[in-house]
Amino acid sequence: MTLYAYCLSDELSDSMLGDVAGVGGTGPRLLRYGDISVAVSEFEGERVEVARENVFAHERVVQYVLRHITPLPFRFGTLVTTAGLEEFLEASRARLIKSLEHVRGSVEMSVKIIWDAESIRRLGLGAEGSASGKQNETKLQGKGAAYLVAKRKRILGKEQLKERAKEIADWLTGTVGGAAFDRNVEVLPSESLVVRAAYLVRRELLGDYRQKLEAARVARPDLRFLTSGPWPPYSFSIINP
Amino acid sequence: MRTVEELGFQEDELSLLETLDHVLDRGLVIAGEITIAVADIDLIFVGLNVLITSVETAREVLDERKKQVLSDEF
Repeated sequence: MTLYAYCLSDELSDSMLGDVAGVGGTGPRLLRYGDISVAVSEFEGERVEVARENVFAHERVVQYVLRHITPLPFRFGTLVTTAGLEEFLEASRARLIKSLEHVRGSVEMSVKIIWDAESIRRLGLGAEGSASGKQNETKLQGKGAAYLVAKRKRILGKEQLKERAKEIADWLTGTVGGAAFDRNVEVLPSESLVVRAAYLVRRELLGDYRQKLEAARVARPDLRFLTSGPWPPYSFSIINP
Repeated sequence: MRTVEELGFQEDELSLLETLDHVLDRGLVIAGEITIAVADIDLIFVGLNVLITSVETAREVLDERKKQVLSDEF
């Protein structure tokens, strides 16, 4: 039998699953393996389609659990047999218990910051393009030289973007990080996305976190903030073998 | 503070994107047990390029699967 796995915890009970419909429409149930319980549902088929209803069904189940406790969520599309699940839990038990302790009583809050990378690059390269850069360009003639100059500009542009993105990431963490006790911050994961940050925040400190975030928004009207949460701790549920 | 409409997309789209961004490439993994299929995903991401990482993740998985199927067939 194939099972779809949603999340696990050492605090899960049946009442925390409610009447929520899971992926494929089947309601979730608990499988208990010693002190760890796993929320699963029966699944027909060999793979899970990345479709709106499936994505939301996965998240609906995990979010319902999150109302009561903080579980470790499985990645979307995790299909497993009972034997496979048992093997995983046996092999990972110590690390799972440690991770559960780490996230207990907390939620993940997400912040993404977007900028106009082209404007930043133009601003950054202004000096380069106006003074000594132009002199060098006039000295360098021919297609080969032009190619090298263009390449240098691209490299400088990328470096400047990274540098500025790092400054913004540090500033963000300095501003809101105090309300969080763990974080996972990616700097410039794509050219438009300056920062993709996940903060682990204790439930009782959510108000404080939101206030700090609002202050950050006000302080930097030049940046676009996409914030969301509370989430199950997806960014803090990575168990390395 | 900008509204989601000012950022260029609808609220339910943003909600789906944020959810995808979390559930597709993070969370507990049981080795070899992620079995997803990507269909019509472009429809969801029309007009958006800021949260492209999730799509890339989905496509990587799909491409890997295609390669696997092809190598199995030959």
